[in-house]
Amino acid sequence: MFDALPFDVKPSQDFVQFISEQGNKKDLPNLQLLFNLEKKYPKMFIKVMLNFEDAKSLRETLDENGKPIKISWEEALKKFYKNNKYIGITSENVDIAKVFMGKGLSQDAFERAYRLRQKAKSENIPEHLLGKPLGEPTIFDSIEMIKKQTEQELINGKKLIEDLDDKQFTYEWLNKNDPRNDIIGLFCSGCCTIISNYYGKNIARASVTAPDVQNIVVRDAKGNIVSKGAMYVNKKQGYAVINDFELNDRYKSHETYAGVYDVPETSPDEQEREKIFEAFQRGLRAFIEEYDRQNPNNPLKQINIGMEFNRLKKQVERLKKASSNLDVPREYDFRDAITREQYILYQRPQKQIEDGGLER
Amino acid sequence: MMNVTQTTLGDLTKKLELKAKEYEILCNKLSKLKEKNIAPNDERLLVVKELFQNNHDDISRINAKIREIKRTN
Repeated sequence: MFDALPFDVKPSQDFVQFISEQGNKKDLPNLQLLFNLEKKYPKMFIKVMLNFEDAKSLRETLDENGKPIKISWEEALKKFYKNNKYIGITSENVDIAKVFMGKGLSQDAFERAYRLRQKAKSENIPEHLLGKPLGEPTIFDSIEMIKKQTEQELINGKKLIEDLDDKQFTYEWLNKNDPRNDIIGLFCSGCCTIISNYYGKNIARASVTAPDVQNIVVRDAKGNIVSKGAMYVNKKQGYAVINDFELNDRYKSHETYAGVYDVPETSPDEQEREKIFEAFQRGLRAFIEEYDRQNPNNPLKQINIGMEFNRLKKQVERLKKASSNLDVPREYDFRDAITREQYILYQRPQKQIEDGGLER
Repeated sequence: MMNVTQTTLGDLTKKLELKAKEYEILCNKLSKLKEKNIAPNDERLLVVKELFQNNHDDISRINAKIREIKRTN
């Protein structure tokens, strides 16, 4: 038995403890058990020694009724032996082990078969003379094939739905030359048109002429603009402010003039507002990413938004309130952002600010 | 108000979810049969195969409808 013991392998402390455990008669019953089993189950000792934790774990099992029980060491070791007849089972030969075990073949036969496989592989012997498998699938095989196709179909279906969901609303940073900037209020009923009598005319004007202001719009599935935000960027100090998020009239049926509304979260209107807000978030992420790429030494640290007349108040209020407002040049007239509190749409993690930007 | 496309898409999403659940149930049935060491060509498996095939075809049809919505949108 000890001829087969590998000298380069150190038995685990648990195993040593197991075989040294003393019985009532100051004998070593566990060691004796292994010696006895070795007679009927060749190489039992070395298998258990090399995989003691696995063998030990088999003591905890379930009875026929599914109740947890603890079986004797003898039963556990026999069970372990049955499942691990061969030494040296790896992912490359586990199939040989399974087939050979079923036929009750010896360790030597297992090793010889494995050596033959290794020889064939080292000589690049093809697995099929024609280079591909030929054979009739069993019913099990054909079910497995249908299963694979179904899993792929389910993934495709999920992806298609996600794509359609996302595409219900899409963002766009509106080109400053686009004439819609001049009359953006007509798409998202606010006062932002260059012909307005209200302060919105200054915002509309800035979105065309100011080098540091641009509109982000959200379009519905048909491409109509349904929401917008005018953003001012302070490049020197690395921050930006959006005046507010305006919405198309069709979303305002439940609102008061000031934008106060109360509809259930599950209502289609509210769910669409959520999706519009998500589109804004995607647009902001894209802006930040590109801005930081172009300004690696002075990336954007924060983006705030105003709350006066903000039509996505419920969504924005889930975010953090700014402790102090960020400034916007007076001539741009971002009153919704200046007159009331601002909320933080984006804040660069402090560590990245201290380090002067992301590692690139 | 939700438009027709969204309503149809909602219906199709629900149908796809139901079919995904049906697929899970079929997989569980198949696992149980495997545990019983049923032969790989046992005739009883033909019924299971048909159920899997129908489930697959239904899912393909639902996906085709979703693709159509995507194409026309």
